[in-house]
Amino acid sequence: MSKPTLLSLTLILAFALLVGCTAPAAAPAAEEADATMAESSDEMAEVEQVLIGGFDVGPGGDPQGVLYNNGAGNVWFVKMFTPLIIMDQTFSNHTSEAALAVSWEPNEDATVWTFNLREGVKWHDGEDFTASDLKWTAEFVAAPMAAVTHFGISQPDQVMGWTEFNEGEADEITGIRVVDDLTLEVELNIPNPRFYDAVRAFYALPEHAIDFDSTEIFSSEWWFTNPIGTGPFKFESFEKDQFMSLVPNELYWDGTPELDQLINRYFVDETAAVLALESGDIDFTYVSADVASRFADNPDYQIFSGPSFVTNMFNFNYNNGVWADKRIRQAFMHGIDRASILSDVFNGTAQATPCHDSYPTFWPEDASYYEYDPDKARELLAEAAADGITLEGINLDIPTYYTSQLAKDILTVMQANMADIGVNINPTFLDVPTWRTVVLDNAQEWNIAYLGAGGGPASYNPAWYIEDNQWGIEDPAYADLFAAMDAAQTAEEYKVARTALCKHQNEEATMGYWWVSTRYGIASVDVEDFHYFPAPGGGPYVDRSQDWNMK
Amino acid sequence: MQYFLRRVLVNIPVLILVTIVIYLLINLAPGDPVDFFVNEEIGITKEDLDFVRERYGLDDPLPVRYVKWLGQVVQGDLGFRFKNGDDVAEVLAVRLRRTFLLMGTALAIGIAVGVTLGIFIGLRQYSFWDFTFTGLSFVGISMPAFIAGIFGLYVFSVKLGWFPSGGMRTIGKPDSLFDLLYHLALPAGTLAIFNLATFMRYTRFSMLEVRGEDYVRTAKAKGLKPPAVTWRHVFRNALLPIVTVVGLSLPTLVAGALFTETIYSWPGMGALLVDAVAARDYPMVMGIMLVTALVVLTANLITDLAYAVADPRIRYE
Repeated sequence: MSKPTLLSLTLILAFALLVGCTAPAAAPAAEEADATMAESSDEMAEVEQVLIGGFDVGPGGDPQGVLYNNGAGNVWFVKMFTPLIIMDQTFSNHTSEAALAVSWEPNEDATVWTFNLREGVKWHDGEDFTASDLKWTAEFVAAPMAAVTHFGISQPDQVMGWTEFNEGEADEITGIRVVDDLTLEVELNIPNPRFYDAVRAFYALPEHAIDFDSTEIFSSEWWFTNPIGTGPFKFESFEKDQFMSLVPNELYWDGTPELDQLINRYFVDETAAVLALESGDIDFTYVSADVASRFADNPDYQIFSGPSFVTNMFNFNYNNGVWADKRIRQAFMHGIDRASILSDVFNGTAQATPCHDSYPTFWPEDASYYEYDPDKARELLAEAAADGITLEGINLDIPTYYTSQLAKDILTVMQANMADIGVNINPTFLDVPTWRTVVLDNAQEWNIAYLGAGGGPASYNPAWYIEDNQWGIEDPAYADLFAAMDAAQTAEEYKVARTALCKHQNEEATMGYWWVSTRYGIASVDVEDFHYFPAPGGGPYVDRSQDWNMK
Repeated sequence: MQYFLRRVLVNIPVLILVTIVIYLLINLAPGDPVDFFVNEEIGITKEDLDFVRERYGLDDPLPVRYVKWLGQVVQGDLGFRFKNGDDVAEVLAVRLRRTFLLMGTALAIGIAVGVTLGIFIGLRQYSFWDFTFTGLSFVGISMPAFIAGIFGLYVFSVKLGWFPSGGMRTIGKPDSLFDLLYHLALPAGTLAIFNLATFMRYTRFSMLEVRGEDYVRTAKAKGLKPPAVTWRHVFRNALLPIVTVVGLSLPTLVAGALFTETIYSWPGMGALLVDAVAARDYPMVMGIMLVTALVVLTANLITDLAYAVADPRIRYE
């Protein structure tokens, strides 16, 4: 090869190497760059306390979502908007705390609820927040063509006139009444002593600042250009697919937040968020259990954890085959080594649950946890077989939308356990739309689904168990058990009734109730007075983000 | 020109056929767009879902929906995303720009370095450099994209801190070309590894094949200097297979790279397609597929035309 050719090749290679290697040298590392830029710009120099987080990473997140679309994303929404009532910090004490409402009380039969609103609450643009905004919000999201499915009020059809308005037969929701600027009254069709809990995702929207129709609620640019709420932070900027930035709301009723900037960076993938945390580009992200263990002894990070309040279970399809026979259901409970799965697969990051209810407050002390007993499982199956009830010829594919490695490991152990007692189950891992089609639209074709079900500490959806439920459960006891819960007038009565329901589910093994897993968030130790709780849908819960600050 | 026009006209029915097949496939897949509005862990009633389905016109028969969609597309309207109401054409315009930048840079690096190294080792068969670069090229070709991406991010961002951990710009700082290049370097570099290895392998093989031809021996025999033999007789004739490979790579300029975009939080077409499919966002999926099909057909046409430039013996009529 001639010298000029060799020289050319060398130059090209050297250039390629330079492109790859000089960029970091020329580009200052993140901290240096921060300092350089801050010095060079007066505006930037003022920004001292900046917290960047992956607030929409994980199952409770809704990246670039808007309020009222699918019930998730509350970790971020609550920074800008405020619900009528909010859950406590740990989401578990069966305590609702003041937010827009400072107090609430029912009438004698709990059919009319009066919410006394906080004085001095202002929207980010300086306008006064009033009870009219709440009534307007309820009607805005419930408008017939809005196509909203999560209204912020659980079981909204309990509200007088809500159904008529939602179906276009009325001009207003008659049951929601503005008494004065600081008093909202809600009348119900039926007594509900715990209605206060049903409005903990009912965020107020500003009537005066929304200029789009309710049919555009999910498509309006307003959410990303000039959203106005009453939360501790207000909108600053949004870069599609990349981040949203907030700044302190000086008008916030509980004091101006300490941070100068709060930024939500969007990630498609949890791994990318974790690497961003480790590289110091962000200060917080949700992480799954196996990742959290890596950070356990690292002094540079603080770990936040809590139960997911989602019960993972085998959903038996009573519409088909053999599930009405308790012995078959209990054979599954005894046939699977739950304790080993919890200790060896979950590594202790999940808790066994005796029933559908994910709140330990309502778990009976004498509940059975169906110890692993393959002999007992075989015995139960044999007894059922003697009566002509067997699993032979039944499709035991188990569709699930949990597709993580952890879920695969869990179901593999279950498969091995069941094979030991002569039952061949076959887990099938599907994306959510496929799972919904398989399980919900083709109920005649499957027998067991592995899923998660959540709910509030003061509300409980009876649709799973009472008559005409979609799973075909025919157990008359459930109607009475749910009725007792509805009739409860005090917190203690309610607890007794709900615990009784749990006890019945536990004894009957109506479904295969397994565990409630723990979820995690990791923050840099540089973030002080920070709080995160992995609540279903991200909350909303009290996080006092106005106190967060950076060292 | 006549050939060009004929190819363009033939591509129109092909394009329509492609859209029919894709429309059919995406609609045959289980699930539908209303699933996006469901949080499985919170729940929703079937009636609510049916209402949303009706609201989006998903209760129309499939052929009716396709004809409506095609009618819109012919008028230049790709529709709106089910997921968030975004204008599909606008989303595509933004995402295409980002993906083009990422994939274009990776492709340019791949071609420049890969072809150069291919020539270099093609002229030195069985040398130390040949074995070294050939060995490395196997690593480059066989390493899965997500492994390369995570490895690159872990080493150069987490451990060394030389590059950012993803995204397209430094949050809180004004946009600048330098900042963009700073964020581009790592994902483009990761993607370039595969391109580079592929082009190097093809170039090496092609160079070796042409070097053994009679006309190369003749050129040497008539006393031409080695550079003239290499560039005028070997490289020019070795170009054809390389042009083919480059042409086949062109669609990736718009299709994006799923894993690399995901791991580097680079909001391009690959990540968009995954998002759209997961949400069963039919208008978005169709928009992406339409653009991709258009580019594939165009790239094939350009490749065919490029043959004539590379080899004057080739004439199209």
